[in-house]
Formats: sequence, structure tokens, C-alpha cells
Amino acid sequence: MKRVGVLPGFGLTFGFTVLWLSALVLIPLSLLFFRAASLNLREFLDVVLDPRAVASYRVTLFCSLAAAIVNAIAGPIVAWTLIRVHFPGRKLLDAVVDLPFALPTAVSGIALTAVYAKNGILGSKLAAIGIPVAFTPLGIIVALTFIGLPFVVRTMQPAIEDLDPTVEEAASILGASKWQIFRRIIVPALLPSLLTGFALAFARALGEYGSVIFISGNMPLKTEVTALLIVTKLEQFDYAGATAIGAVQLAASFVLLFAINGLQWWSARRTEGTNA
Amino acid sequence: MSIEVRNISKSFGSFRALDNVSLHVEQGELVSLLGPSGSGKTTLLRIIAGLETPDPSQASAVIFDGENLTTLSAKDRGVGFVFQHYALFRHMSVFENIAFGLRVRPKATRPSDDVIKAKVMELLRLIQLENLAERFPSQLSGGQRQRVALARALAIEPRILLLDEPFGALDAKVRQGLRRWLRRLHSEITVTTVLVTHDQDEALEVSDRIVVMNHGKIEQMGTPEEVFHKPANEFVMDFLGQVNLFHARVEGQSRKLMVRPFDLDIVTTKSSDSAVPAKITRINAAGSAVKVELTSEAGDAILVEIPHDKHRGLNLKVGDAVFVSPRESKVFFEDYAI
Repeated sequence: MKRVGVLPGFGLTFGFTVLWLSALVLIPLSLLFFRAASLNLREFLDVVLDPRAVASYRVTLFCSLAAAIVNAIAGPIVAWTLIRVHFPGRKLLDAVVDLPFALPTAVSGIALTAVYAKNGILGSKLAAIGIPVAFTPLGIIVALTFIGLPFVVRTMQPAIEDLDPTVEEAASILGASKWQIFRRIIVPALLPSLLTGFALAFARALGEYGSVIFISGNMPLKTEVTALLIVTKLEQFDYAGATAIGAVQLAASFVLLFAINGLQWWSARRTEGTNA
Repeated sequence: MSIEVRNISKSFGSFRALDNVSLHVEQGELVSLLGPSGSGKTTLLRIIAGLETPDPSQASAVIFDGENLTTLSAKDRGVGFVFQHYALFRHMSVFENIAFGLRVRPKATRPSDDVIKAKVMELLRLIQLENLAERFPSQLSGGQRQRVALARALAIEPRILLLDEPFGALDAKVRQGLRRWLRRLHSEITVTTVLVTHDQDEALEVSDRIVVMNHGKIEQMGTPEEVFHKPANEFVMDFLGQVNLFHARVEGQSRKLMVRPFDLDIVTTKSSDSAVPAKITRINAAGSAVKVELTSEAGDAILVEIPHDKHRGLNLKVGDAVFVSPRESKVFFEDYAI
């Protein structure tokens, strides 16, 4: 016997989802692999294992991870403040969080470079104490943190709003210290949304181009990100090389995001009550 | 453990939630704070728990068994508190919820895992949920959640137990069952308990004593019988059940007269001077007594409750002209209860 679900239109909605993801994501991205396949294995490996390419993977991965971790620490604090602390101008500050979403990334990149360059407002002070920012991996991390911040803040806000203050009171009355309440009550409740925000910020950073290229200085082997290397190859009409590196980045990104999704699923299962 | 509350006031901005309230709860007593919303009852409970601080004053104090706790934080008072909306830890199993208060103790006083396990299992038996230890709060019904919240509060062996509208979010049937269960539980474990409620039936049924509050003040303290049958004033009389209001001349003076529906009788002939002519507008025979709504000649609504057999004997119908007379002299005058 055919089982009929409660919700109508399963076939229709599922069909639409598959079609939509295919047209927008799967087909364009799989063409990347076809294009890359115009190289034979030897040529492919030469391109993707070129020291300059490998260095760019390392820079991209390291800086993206560092930026996502910084955001995973700073983002919750910003989100918490925006919800739990009432101060004048809160709404305004809340709107400021979205600016990295809205700004053309090249504009952000130029602005960040101006501020963090050796003669910039912050850059000069940091350079004076021996921490140059612009044209170093640290500069890339700053740019990636900038563009990743709204992802973490916006995914955490609903979860923080959802926290019931009486639950914290209950824990306190049972004798829990502030730290124990944070560690045993608040962190587990926010962990799933923190992981989501982290994954989004990380994914966004892996592919970021516009805001990075100005502040990084783009020194091959040192501060060159993979996205830039791909554009460089395209400018030299090396389409096969560009798609080969693109395919590597795509595969790596997919594996990483899939792993984070698995982690999210695991943490959501541990907090079974949160979806009810 | 007795509780002594002395001269407590609390203001939220310009709103005075508590106005110089003093209260004493005996060891082992179950006392209800009863009042409408905004009467200050929850604020008083939260001040006893240490979740709220009273307005600073030399005279004010919260004392448990002679020990002044006014400046102690909630964390260190050793009280059990049950919230209206359970406030369970939803990422923890029922077992871990109940064990929480023991697990967060400092190492020196923390019981071993075996002791914690035994304690939690004992409490699960007490709340009759032994086989749901591994469930999460979202998988329980409202009544089960509230019992878990109670077990969680009892796990730390609290000096006193404070319940803030514990059954307020549950439906009527479950509420009644839990009320009786709470009463039985209290006689088993005899922990000094303060219960906040706005439901007069609940207060009348479970309490040893009732504290009726209104506008941040205590209107009356007494046993359920006392506050019900000898209300100190009009507010208490009105809040503890339905009343009919009459204006009468007593000893030449105009007085307000308040009579409970079951202290009124319906007669078909004018039997005495105090019988008032009225017309029946509605009869509801569902329930333990028959509720008859009437309108007096002056246009006032009157509610009378008569036993079923009496109702059958009178053969009343909507539209009948009858007389309403006080069954006994159990009436309440504006300034004195008889």
C-alpha cells in the first residue's frame, strides 16, 4: 500500500527542490569538473600540486579557519550584548552588523587596507608595537573576520532570544555558580546555532576574493589566496588551470562543510529538546 | 525551618509591588499566597528565594530559623523553587535535570555518582516517573514536567520549598490531580512550603494557612476556613468566591450586604421581611449544585446555588417570579463579619 504523508505535495516540493538546486548549484559546479577534465591526470596534478597553488590552499584554509574561530568567539558576545544589554543606540548598532553583507567586498577591502596599512589609523599603532597587519596573513584574517561577522551574529541572535531567563534563575537557585550556568546551561543551548554560524562564516571566507586582495598584498607563496590564484589564471586565459584549482577548492570546501554539518547534527541530537 | 519576613517593600519604578509586608511561616507549614495578578505575591516569593532584592531599609529582613539571609544570594540560600513554566534544562534528560543541583556542588560536598544516582532514582519514584529517567523534557506532558521540576527542587534537600503558580500552566483535570498529590507529598516530606496562586480553589484545598494579598499588602492571614467563612473585609470575601451584593437598612443605617450564592434560598411565597422578589433568568443544573441566576426588581443580578433535590421539588423555570431570602444570617457587612 502506498503511504500517504500528512503534508500534501511531497512530489511537487521535492521535484522543485531538486530542479532548483540542479539549475543553480549542481550543474554549474559539475561543469567545473568537466572543464578540468580537459587536462590529463599528469597535467592536472602539475597544476594543482604546484608549490604556489599548495601555498595558496594553506593560506586560504589557515586564514579562513582563524577568522571563523575569531568570529565564533566575538560573534556570540556581540549577539548577546545586542539582545540582553539595553543601551541607547542598540537598534543602530544592530543594523551596523549587517553592513559587511551589504557593502561591495572590494569597498570593504579598500577601507580595511586604509585603516590597517602602516600609515593607517590602527595599522600605524599596531605596526609600532611590531604587529604589521596589511600585506600579511593577519591582514587576510582581519578581512575574513569582517565579512564573516554577520553570519555568526545573525544565526546566534534567535537562539539567544530563545533562552529563558528563568532557566538561569533555576540553575542559580540549585546552587550553580555563574560559570557553571554558562558552561552547563548556556553553552549547550547555543552550541548548535554557534556551529551553524561558524560553518557559514568559514564557508564564506574560503571563497572570499574582493575584500582580501587589497589588504593581503598578494605575494605568491605568502599572502596569495586560492580565489586570487584562480582569477590570475583566468586573466592569463589558462581556463583549464583555473578550473582545476577551482575543482580542488570545491571538493575541499564540500568535505569540510559536510563534516561541520555532521558535527551540527550530532550536537543537535544531544540537545534533543531544542526542536520541540 | 520557619520563615520570617519583616517589613519588606519593593518598588519597580513608580509601581509599588510590596508595601511593608511582614509574614511568618511555621516549620512544616504549607502557606499559600493568594491574590490577583499585580498583588505582589510572586514578588514576595522571589524575595524569599533571593531572586529579587527588597528596597533597602534598616527594618526589612528575610530570616530562616533565626538566620538573617537578607543579603545572601539565591545560590547560597538552599531553597527549592518551582517555576510556573517549569524552567527545565531542555538539553538534559530527566535524570540529569534532577541531578543538576547535586552535580554543581563544590568538590568537597559533592556526593559520589552512586549516591547521586540513588538519590535521583528515589525522587523519580516519589514523582512516579521511574521509567522516564532518560527522556528529555520535550517528550513529557505538562504535568510530568512540573513533577520533574519539583523533584529537581527537592534533590538539594532544600530548607524551604517555594512554588510559583506551579499548576498555572496545566489544564483543569491535571491541576486537580497534582494538587491532591502535592498535599499528600507535603504530609510525607513536611518541608516548609510557600505556594503562590491566584486560584482560590487551589489555595483553599492545599493550604494550612492562606495569606490573601492585594495591591502589595496582606489583606488577611488565616486557615482556609477562617478566610472563607470569616473574611476580614470585602476584598477577601469577594476574592474567595462568588458573592451577591445587597444594599440594606440595618438598624436605621444603610449597609452593604454580601452573601454567598449557597447562603441564599429560593422560595415561592414571601416568607419573611428579608425575602427579595426576583425573576429567574437562567438555570444551570450541571455541577454539584444548581446555579440559578435571577434579576431583582431593582435590576441587580443575583446568583443562588441550591441543592439538586430542592431544585426538583420547586420545579423552577426561566421567567418564574420568586423570592430570594438569606438561608442563614451568614452575611458580610461592610465593616463586620457575622
